[in-house]
Amino acid sequence: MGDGGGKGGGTPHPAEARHRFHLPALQSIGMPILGLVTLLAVLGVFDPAHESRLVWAGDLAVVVRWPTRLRETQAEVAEIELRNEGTAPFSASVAFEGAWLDAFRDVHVDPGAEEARSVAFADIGPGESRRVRVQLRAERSGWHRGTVHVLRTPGDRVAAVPVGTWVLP
Amino acid sequence: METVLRVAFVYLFLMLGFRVLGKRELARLSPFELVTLMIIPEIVSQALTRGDGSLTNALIGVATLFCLVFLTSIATFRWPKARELVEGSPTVVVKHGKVLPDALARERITEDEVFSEMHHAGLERVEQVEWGYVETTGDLTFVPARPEDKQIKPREELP
Repeated sequence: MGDGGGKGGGTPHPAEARHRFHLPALQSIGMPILGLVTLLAVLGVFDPAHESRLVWAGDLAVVVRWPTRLRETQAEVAEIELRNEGTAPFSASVAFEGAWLDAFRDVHVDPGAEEARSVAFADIGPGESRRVRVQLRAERSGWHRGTVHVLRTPGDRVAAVPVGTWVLP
Repeated sequence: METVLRVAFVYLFLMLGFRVLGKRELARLSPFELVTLMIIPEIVSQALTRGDGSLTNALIGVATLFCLVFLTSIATFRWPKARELVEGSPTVVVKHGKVLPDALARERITEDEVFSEMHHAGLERVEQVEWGYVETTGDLTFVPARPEDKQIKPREELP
């Protein structure tokens, strides 16, 4: 206890007691839940997450990287990389199917025109690669799924990658 | 993860800030202090949320804050040192009927305030006060010198 000239000085104070800790039933249930939410947040369970997948359409290697978890209003980028691992040039197109893209706003596919939902590339030479970037901003909470289709011509070889994103409220 | 760290940092910073600010300032806010307290949330809100206005982020922030408050209350309950660190300790401002000017200066309290609170407590003269404290809540409390002074009517019952 602070005194004008220091501590103590004979001022009245409560007796020293060893305090025992007791939680009421409501707190016994509620605090672990709040603690769990905090712990999960520390572990990154509510943070944005991505997944990446490699598929083949003949000698066309397709790498798709997309956000699997986002919070509402968060912006992210999905990428599709096409790589010619063969010896002859070919053309390829990328198309998004399903309601996946509709779950986002401010969607911009690059390269591509406004509102484009598909991109075509001509003459991808051996060893060359092309990249599609899709800017997304999460709008509706929930689980949204779709498919990224890649068509290689000639040959009409198709690669399909199912994609899905959890948008947390 | 980042939200948890930011809330924890701001919580500790504000706790330290209020601790430094002093007891009396929290007990009775002047218009200037009230404005200060109203501006603080405006300043820190963007730093806390980084523009992430999602419900998830808000719940994480609130859960983190509640956990910190709960852990602080456990620590202050369990360990006296933690209590003194977080809440401080009462300051003696009147001792054996004498006002302690140094203690008043440290708490930035005028003698007028002490006398005003004494009068509210039904004590007319400082000689009637054995001990006068600024409690950790910022309230001024008095221990009367004579037993008969303890039979004081509460303020609202005074004529």
